[in-house]
Amino acid sequence: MFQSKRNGLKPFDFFNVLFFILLCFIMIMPFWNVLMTSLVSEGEYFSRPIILWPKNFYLASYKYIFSSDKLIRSMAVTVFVALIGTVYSMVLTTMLSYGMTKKKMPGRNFFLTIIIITMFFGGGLIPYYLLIRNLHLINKIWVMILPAGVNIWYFILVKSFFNQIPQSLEESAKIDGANEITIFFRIVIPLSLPALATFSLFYGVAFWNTWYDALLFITKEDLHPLQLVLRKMIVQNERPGLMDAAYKKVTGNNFGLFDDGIKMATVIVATVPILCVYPFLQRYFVQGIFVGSIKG
Amino acid sequence: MSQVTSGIGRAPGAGKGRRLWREISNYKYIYMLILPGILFFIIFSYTPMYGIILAFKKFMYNKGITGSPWVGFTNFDVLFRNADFWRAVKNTLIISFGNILFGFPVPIILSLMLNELRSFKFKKVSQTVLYLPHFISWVIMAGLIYNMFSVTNGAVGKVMYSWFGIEPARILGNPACFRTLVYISNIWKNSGWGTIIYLAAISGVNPELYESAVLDGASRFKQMIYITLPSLAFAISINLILDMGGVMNAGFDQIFNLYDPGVYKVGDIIDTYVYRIGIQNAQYEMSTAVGLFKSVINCILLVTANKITNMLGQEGLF
Repeated sequence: MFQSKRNGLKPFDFFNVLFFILLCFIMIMPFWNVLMTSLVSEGEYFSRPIILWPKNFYLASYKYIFSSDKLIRSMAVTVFVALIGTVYSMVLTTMLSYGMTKKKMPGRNFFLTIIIITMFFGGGLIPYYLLIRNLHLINKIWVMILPAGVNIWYFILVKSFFNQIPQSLEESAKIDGANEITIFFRIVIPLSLPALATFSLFYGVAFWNTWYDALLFITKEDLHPLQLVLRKMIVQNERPGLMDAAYKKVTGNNFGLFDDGIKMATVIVATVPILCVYPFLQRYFVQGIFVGSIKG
Repeated sequence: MSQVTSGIGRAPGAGKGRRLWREISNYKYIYMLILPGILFFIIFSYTPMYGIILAFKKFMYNKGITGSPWVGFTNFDVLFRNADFWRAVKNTLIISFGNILFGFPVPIILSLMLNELRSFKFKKVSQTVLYLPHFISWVIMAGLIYNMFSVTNGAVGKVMYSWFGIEPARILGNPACFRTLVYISNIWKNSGWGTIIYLAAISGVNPELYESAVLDGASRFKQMIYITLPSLAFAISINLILDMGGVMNAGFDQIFNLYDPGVYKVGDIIDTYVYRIGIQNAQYEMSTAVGLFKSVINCILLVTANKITNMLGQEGLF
């Protein structure tokens, strides 16, 4: 049986593997190109059309980044936002999701409806802008955290995950006199740790990537997150070298430092943390957290 | 059912009220748990909805939303005569449908092909690589694209010039290439992640179906077309509904980080237009009007797409 299957489409198998090798190459190449740009001097960068491996490793771009006050501060802002934001989002999301698994709770459908409606209808940019102004969040680091509390997709996924926890566990705890808050923290959360770790990472990545709220609401450069500083370099083409004393300090004895090298080194610094948590993310999302949500 | 029978023999009104009250107090701890989340949605999603009335007012900075005078549909009147607005609507629709036309089939095809890979390890590695770009921001994407396609410094241009002697073409900031760049970068970033929902659906197919198909002499290609593909119908229809409902969005983050004034002609979409007139030019009421226009069309599209899917015999969203 398997014999016939295998003989039938051998050229296809070959083509298929080749296709995915090519595809992986296309996916990795841009990242590799960025990495190589960040690791060579200006001379080498412009003398070689494509750099698969540096002839001379040149680390001045990274030295510059880690001696620039502005970039270090922006990294600190990003780390703060990612850590505090993740905790805040997870607390809101898990408590809400757990509550919404109680199908007989009066008002439950009403609450669910008002949550789902926000996926499709919103006030738009200006009413949001005025709200943030009225809340006095302008130029506060919290503006990158508070409005990003609950992602509705994650809410739905966490809810369907909590639904799978056997009711009997909760009921026996109730007989022992525990209230729902105790049950939630003592039973539901400990049983869901792997899933909750995954969603924390999802939130963490989202907060790490935040830039838009900062662009809208933060004029103080001290509070700009890494992604916004990067955006200014790449999209608005702001020359990193004109920013601070660190450039002079590093260029003093390095003639190979150049804008693209610094920009791409910043891209790498902004990407590496995502690459670090990525394997942990991947392990769980293939394991079928998503399957449950799709089916119900 | 038990609730109904236990109420027999009491005064209906009073009993109902008291029972509801008892039900609510049974859940008091749950209400405490959901309170912060509900407050979050009220504050950050519903309070701004009140601000929509700004679309029908003339905004005065010192009077705020409530105090500003009503002007009826004047703002929309002005808006509908504005060529820039219609350009943004047109670009939004073209880019959205372009994204659906070129981008929508890609994850379906990829997941079918991933499913045909024999080596489990190789499949895993491919998936890992394909999912990765989903997690990086469009700011970083802009960096990757710049580094590949910039005329003077980009790898593609440098290779073209020094290997083939071809003067590199301008890709970034070129109106002729902008939409193509949007479609391709969108496919590059999101198709891999898009396969997840389809692969999950494929993994739920009953293996007996394949076994009996093999006994009937169906080739692998036929199994793919007649068993695997139909199993994706539900996921495909859900995705299509969501994409149709999002037609007015066209991807703010992407466009905003890739465009410049040189490509407004082909790339300025509603969301970027809202940003520019609202935040940069401080025309609050006009910007709100555009936003409202967009939201209403979005809702209509979503409901329509869902209706059509139901009529075609697929399960819709609602």
